[in-house]
Amino acid sequence: MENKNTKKIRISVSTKPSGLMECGGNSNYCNENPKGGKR
Amino acid sequence: MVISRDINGIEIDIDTSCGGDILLPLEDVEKMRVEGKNPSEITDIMNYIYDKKTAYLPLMGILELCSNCNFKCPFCFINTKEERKRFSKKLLYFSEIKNDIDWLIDRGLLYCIITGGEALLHPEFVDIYKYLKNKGVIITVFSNLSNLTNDLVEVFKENPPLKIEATIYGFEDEIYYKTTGQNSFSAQKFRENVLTLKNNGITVICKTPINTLNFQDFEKIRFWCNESNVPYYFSEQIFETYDGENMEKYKTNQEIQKYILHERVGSIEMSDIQKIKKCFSCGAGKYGFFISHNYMLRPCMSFFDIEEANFLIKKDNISEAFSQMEKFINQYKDLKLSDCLGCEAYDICKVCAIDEIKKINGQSGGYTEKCKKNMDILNFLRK
Repeated sequence: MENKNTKKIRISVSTKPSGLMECGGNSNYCNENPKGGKR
Repeated sequence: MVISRDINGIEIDIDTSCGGDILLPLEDVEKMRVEGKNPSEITDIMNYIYDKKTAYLPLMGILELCSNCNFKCPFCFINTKEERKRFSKKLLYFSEIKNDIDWLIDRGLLYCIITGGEALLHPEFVDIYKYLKNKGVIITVFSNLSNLTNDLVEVFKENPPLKIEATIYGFEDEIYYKTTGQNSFSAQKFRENVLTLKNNGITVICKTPINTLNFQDFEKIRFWCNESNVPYYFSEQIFETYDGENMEKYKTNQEIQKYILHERVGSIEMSDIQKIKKCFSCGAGKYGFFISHNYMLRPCMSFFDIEEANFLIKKDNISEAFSQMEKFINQYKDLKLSDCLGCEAYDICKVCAIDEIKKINGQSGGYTEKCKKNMDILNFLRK
């Protein structure tokens, strides 16, 4: 939804799993290619 | 409450009454879309902010508040010989890190993962959590939920996190107790706590590290999460402990591993990107950092066993540690991985600067075996 006064729009940040277990990597974070793989 | 922040020249408003609602300038959102970035993906937002400067910015941090945990999972990387001997009291104290947090926020800290040990056991968890939240930092909490109280639920309701990632170690109590090395907190109680969070409007996600102790419960866990409408993910990966103990014995057999891997990743095609990987092209080389329970700064948590990548945060002098870490990163940044052939496993490849640096400093003999495993995985998933 656009806020006309500030020219900003509201974004809800995605809550999808981080991919970070107790340790290890998240493809979005670790890999240069943000898609991480074709599904 | 809306907190207005200027992060690398971009005016971002954070609505603290929500877990992850932000207001971004329309102009920047449009630019992100033109660049192929998704404005609602936190990593895309951070990459966009970083790209305005292309010098390291501490936008995303993992805070390991404590090393102690009331669970004693035998396969846990933090469950070291030292930790098994005594209940560790190593903590990041709020009074010790408050100025460091201020310094990080001044320099752009936007997203923080709070973890442990068991983060909710930290006596100052609420103080640290609320302080970060009220300064306009988006927060994810990792927890086993055993220490979730009504008071904490109220804290999360009033100051919502982006999400809580709760580890579900088993479905049946027998498996759950065996996997967690305790029998005072049951699987049933865990599930009740997940639903309590969910019913109070707090985003909760479940995850399982699958191993020899709990793989029998995998389908039951997944079914329950689906039925309960709780997002779920899992991994078959097992990591060595902080003190170098090999945990391979907790890895399931190859057949089960492949099944889990297939369920996790699905089928993939070979990558259309085939290029040589470079050091620190990841988030750690641009905006990420990890602070351990004993005040060590490193580019990401997986650098724990590379001495030259760990920097002690001295009291009220976090800038020195970051300056040292930036120098360390720049020493290797964009260096090509010497064993990388630029193969078609690029999309799933997790070989990174850690492997190259360990090869350079003699900690390992190289990572061609790891590359071979990547190709095996690719070939398996392609079938």
